[in-house]
Amino acid sequence: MPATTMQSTAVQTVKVRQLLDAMSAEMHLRVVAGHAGIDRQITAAEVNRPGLALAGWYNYFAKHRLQVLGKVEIYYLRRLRADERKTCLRTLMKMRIPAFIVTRNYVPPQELIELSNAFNVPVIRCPGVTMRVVNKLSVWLEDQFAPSCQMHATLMEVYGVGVLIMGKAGVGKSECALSLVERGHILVADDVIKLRVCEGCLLTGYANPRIGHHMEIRGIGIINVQSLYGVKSVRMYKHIDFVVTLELWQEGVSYDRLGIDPQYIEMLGVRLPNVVIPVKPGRDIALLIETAAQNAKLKSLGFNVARSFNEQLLANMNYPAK
Amino acid sequence: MNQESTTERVITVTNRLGVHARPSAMLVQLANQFSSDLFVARDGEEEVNAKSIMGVMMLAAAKGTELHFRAVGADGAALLDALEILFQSNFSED
Repeated sequence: MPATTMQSTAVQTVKVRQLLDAMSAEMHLRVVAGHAGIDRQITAAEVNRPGLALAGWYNYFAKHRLQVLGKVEIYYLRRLRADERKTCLRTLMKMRIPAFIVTRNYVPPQELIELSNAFNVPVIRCPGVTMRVVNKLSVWLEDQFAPSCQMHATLMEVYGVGVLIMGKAGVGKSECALSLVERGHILVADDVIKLRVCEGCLLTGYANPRIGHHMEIRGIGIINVQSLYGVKSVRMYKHIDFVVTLELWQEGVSYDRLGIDPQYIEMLGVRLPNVVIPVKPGRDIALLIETAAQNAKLKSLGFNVARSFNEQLLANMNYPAK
Repeated sequence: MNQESTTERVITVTNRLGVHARPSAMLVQLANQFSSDLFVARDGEEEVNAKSIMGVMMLAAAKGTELHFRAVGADGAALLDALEILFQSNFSED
C-alpha cells in the first residue's frame, strides 16, 4: 500500500435507514410497518428469498440478509391459514432479520404488518418486479460493503481513460491536472479521493462532495474548476484504468525505456499498471500523460506498440518473432 | 514493516468559527515545517492527509469537534506539541 493511502476500511454493517435514504427515490421504497426498527443493521451484502424458511426449513437460513418477499412468497403466505401465517412469520421475526422487502407492490398479509410492528422489523414495499429489486439491492449492498479507502492523489479522465496521478506533495499533481483540464480533459477529484472496489475487481475513484471540484494551486490559492472551465470539465467518479506516479528526476535511476514489461501497483487488492514519469523542468507532463493514456487505450484494444515494434525488428533480422 | 514512530493526540477545536479556510491554511503550513507525515480524522471517520489544505477543510470541523491527529515520523511529538499550541491560540482569531 503506498504511503499516501489512508487506512483502508471495510464496512461491516449498514443500517436499513441508509438503504432508505439512498434508494427510496430510485426504487420507490416505502416503509409500511415496523418503523421503529429502521435503525436495524444489515450485516450481509446479499439478499435472501425466504421461501424455504416460510415452509418450515430453517437450517442455514440467511437471517442476516434482507428478506425479499416476491410473488412466490406472498402467494404461499396467502394460501396458509391465518394461524399458520402467524406462526411461520413469528419464527422469522424472532431471528432478528434486518427487514422485509415486499416487491410488486403486493399488499402484505395483515399478520406480517402486526408482527412487524410488534417486533420492530421494517416492512418495505416497492413497485419493482422481484428480479429487478433483487439486482438493485445486491448492487447497492455490494457497493456499501466493498473495501474502500481515502487517498491523497489526483484523478482525471483522459480520452475516456481513468488516470490516477500519484506522487509526493509538491511534485506537481494539481498543476498537471490543471493543464490536462486546459487541454479539454476531465477532473474527477484533486487531493482527496475516495477509492472503492466495485464488482470485486474495478477500482473506482470518487470526488468528495464537500470539496467538489475545488483545487488548491500553490501561489494562486483555491480555484473552482467547474466555474472556470464549465461543467464539461468535471465528473464525480470514474473507474481507474492505470496509475501515473510522478517523481522528481533522479540522476542515476534508470527509467522504463521500452514499455514492454509494464510495472504494476496494488491498491485494495486490485492490480493496476503503474507508469512512473520522472518530473524535470521542461518536461511537459500533461502531454506525457495524454500519450500514456492513448497508449493504454491502444493496449486495451490489443495493440502493444512496443511489442509489435520489437516483432518487426526481429522480422527484419530474419529471426522468427516470439 | 514500518519502523517509524507514530504519535497520536486528540485536540478539540476551540475557536468560534471552527477550522475554516484560514485556520486550515495555518494548520497545513505548520505541518509542512515538519518532516513527519500527519493525518487527521473526526471521531469514527476516515483519516485525511493533514498536510493538504483540501483534506483539512473537508473535515468541516466546527467548534467543539474532537480531532484525532496521528503523526508518523521522528519529529511527530514536536509537531503535535506545536499543533496543540496553534489550536489553543484559537488561530489568533477570537
